[in-house]
Amino acid sequence: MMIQARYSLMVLLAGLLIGCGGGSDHEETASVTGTVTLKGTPVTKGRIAFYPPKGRPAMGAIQSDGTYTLTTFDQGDGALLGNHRVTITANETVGGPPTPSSFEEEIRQAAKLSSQAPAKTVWLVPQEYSNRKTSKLEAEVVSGDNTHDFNLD
Amino acid sequence: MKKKPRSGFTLVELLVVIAIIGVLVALLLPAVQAAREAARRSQCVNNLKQLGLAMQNYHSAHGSFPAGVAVKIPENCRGGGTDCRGFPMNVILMPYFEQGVIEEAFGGFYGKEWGWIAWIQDIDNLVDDAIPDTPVSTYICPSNSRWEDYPQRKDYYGVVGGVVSVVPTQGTWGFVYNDGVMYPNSYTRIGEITDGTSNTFAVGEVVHAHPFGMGPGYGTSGGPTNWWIGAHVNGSNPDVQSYGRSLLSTLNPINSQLPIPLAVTDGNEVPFGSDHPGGAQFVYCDGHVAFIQDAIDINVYQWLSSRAGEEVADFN
Repeated sequence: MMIQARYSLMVLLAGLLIGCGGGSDHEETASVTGTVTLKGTPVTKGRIAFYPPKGRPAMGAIQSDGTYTLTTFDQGDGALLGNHRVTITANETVGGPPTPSSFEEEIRQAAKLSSQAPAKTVWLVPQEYSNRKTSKLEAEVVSGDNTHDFNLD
Repeated sequence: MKKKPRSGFTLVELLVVIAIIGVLVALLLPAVQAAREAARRSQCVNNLKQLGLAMQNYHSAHGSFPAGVAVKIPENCRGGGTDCRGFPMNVILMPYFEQGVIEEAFGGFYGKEWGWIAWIQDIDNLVDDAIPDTPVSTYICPSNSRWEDYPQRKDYYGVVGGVVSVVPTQGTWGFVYNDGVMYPNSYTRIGEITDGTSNTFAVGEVVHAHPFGMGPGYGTSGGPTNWWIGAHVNGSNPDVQSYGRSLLSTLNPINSQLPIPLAVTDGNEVPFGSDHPGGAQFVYCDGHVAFIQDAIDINVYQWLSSRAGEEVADFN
C-alpha cells in the first residue's frame, strides 16, 4: 500500500517535470555553411544573407578565409528551408577623417577639421550582389546539412 | 501491553515533502520572472506611447512630425558645408512629454555652427553641466540589461525606412534610407504617410551596440548612445549621412544575430531589437504600440517602415 502510494507520487512528479519542458517554437531551419570567392580569391570580410520567400532571413559574417556559417534565430542554426535569394555585401570606406579613438577625441578632432576629401566606399564584391533586388544569386536549402559555395566573377 | 504510537516523521516522508516543495518552487520561479518581465515590458510600452503622443502633439503644434534629426543647412555646417551636425528628435520632442526644462539647455544651439558638437564643446558654460549625463527615464527600457551602467543612454530610435527596392545610397556609415518617417530633416506630414499612420513605424527599440557608442568599446565593440547625440550630414550631398546614433533602418532583421557591429563603417545598419523575449516593440505614427516578433517576414517588416511604399502588408 505504502509502496504503491510512493510509486504513484514519483510518477506524478516525473509527469510534472516533463510537462515543464518546452520545445522551440521556431520554424525548422537547416545548417548552411560555405565559402565565398571572387575570381578565385576568398572574400575576406563582409556578410552574406539568405532571404527566404517568406520569413526571417539568415545571415552570416564572412570570415578572413572566406567561409561563413548562417544564423537565423540562434547562433549557427542555419536558414529556413526553401529557395533563397542570396546577397553578399563586402565593402570598406577609404579616406575621410581618421577614426577617432574615443568620444572626447571625436569632438576635439571635429574642432580641428577643415574641408576634407569625403570618405569613399570601395566595393570588394560588386555592389549589385549586395541588394536582393539586383542580386541574381539563389540557393536551395533542404533538411540536413547544406554547403553552398559562391564563386563570383 | 499497549504499543505506544510513534510520533514524528520518517526520513522518507521528509524527503517526499521537500521534493514536493522543491517542485512547487521550481514551477513558481519562472512564473515570477515572467511576471517581472511583463511588468518591465509594460513600462517600455508606456515609454514608447509617450513618444508617440509627443509626436502627435508636435504635429498639432507645427503641422508636421519632428525631423528625425533637424540639421539646418548651412547654419549647422562647417568644412565648406560638408560637415553639418543637427539635433535629434529625442531632444526636440522633450517639451512635448514634460521635459522642457532639459530641452531649454539646447535652445541657443539649434542655429549654431555644428549643432550638438558645439553644444557639448560648450558644456562648461552651460548653466547645468550635468545635462549630458542626465538620465531621461522615458528613453530607458527597463528590460535592457546590457547597458545598466549607462543610465544616460537611449533605447528608442527613429525609423528612417528600409525598403530594399529603393537602392540605398552608401554613406560613410553604411546604407542610407529615407523612405520612412524619421530621417534627417524629414518633417513628415501625416498627409504624406499614404501607407496609413497605423501601418507605419515611427520609433522602435534598440539594444545592440553602436560602433561609436559610449564607453570603452568606442570604435571597436561599441556601446549604447546618449539621448542627445545627433547626426552628421553632408550639406552638399545630403545622401551621405551618418545618422546611426539617433536613427536606424529596418535593413537587418529584428535582433539580428550577426555580430554587430561587423565593421565601424556599418553604424547606420545596427538592427532594431530588445531584451524582451522574441522580438521588439515599435510605436506607429498613429501612436499605437505593438510587439513585432523576430520571426516576422522581412518584407512585411520593411514595408511597415516605409511611409508611402504602397505595399499591401500581410500580417499573417
